[in-house]
Amino acid sequence: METLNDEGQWIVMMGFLVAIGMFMLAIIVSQAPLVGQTTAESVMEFPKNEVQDLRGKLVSMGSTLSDDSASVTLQGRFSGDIALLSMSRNNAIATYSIDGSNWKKNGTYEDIFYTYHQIHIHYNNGITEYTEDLLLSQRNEDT
Amino acid sequence: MKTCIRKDESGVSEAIGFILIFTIVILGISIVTLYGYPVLADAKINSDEKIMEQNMIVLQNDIKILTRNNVPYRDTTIGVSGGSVFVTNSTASENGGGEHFNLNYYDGTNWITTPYYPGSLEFVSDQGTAVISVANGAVIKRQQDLDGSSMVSDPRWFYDEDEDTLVLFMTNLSSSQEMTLGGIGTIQMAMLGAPEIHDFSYTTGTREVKIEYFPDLADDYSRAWENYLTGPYIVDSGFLMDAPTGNPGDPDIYRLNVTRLVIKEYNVEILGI
Repeated sequence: METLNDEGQWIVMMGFLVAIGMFMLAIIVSQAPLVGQTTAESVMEFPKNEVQDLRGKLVSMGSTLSDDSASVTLQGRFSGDIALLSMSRNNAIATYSIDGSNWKKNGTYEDIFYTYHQIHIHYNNGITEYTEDLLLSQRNEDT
Repeated sequence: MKTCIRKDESGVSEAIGFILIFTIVILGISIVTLYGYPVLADAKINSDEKIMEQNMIVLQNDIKILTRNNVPYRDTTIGVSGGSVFVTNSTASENGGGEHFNLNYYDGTNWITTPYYPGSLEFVSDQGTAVISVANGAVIKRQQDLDGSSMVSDPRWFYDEDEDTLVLFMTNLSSSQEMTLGGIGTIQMAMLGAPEIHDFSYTTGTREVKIEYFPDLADDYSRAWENYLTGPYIVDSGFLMDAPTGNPGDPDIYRLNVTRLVIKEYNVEILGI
């Protein structure tokens, strides 16, 4: 009787392994969640630059911070403009408020060189909500 | 004396063997046809609906990019299988008394009621029963001839607790003609006009905003909007909902008190599909 040549059995085994592997991959692919939004879009949508812009504007505005009435009017307009622009360009609520109890004359948040203004920043575009208390330093005038 | 049973072939009939094997084969084929094929067809319908759900989310995302990211044009190629996609124009919807929202708010001197007819991009399955719609920035799904509906993907309406501000985005879809898509096609959309912004701050205290949802009775998504508005998706406590009157055609009414209300109106044009 002729002996059976079984040296080629590994080919069949490999075939099985590949088939099982493809089956597993198909299961994983079918488990992919329902997404129409890519990760890159989510990253681009994160309002990092918008918040930084807002912060930057407030920092550069430091020298105009004061509690006399003219400044308060100016501040009101400025914060109104920021709120409007954020809503029309970025669909976001952006507000800030300056805590008046920390003005220099009240004797808080002050060292010999600087007065610190505490600014409450709030930003919300429906997805990302950001709140910060920013301490803005203002150089004291030499007295 | 020992006899080997296997070598005794008396009583073995080739004809009977053939009949047995043939019967097994025919039985196998009929079982697959009767039970296997419907299961396969169901699986195909299900996967078509899932794929379309995903496609509709892609379209919603495109509309979002048009409206929120200041991009004027957007093209998307989608493959529609197992049904068709229809565009319902916002004006056609208004003339036909379709689904719409009435926003009732105070503009500083008067109470104003503004109707919004969003129109829709709607997929209707022809083998299954699913209907998936992109309307007013949301993706909503329902089953044909059934009452319920559910929100697959929320619109981006939001409420800010710190400022007590409600922001509503109303998106209208318009198209120059009626359009349908079956098979593979490219949906071209544009938003060329600037959005209209209505921004009201109520300095004297909170004011009520009333949203009335009028369903299209043949295409009713009121349950999805009810769950979205009264659930914790916009405000933690949800909108307050008036008890439904029970008359078909009457709106569902939702109320919320806010100190600032922002409504942004977008008009997205479907150029072609």
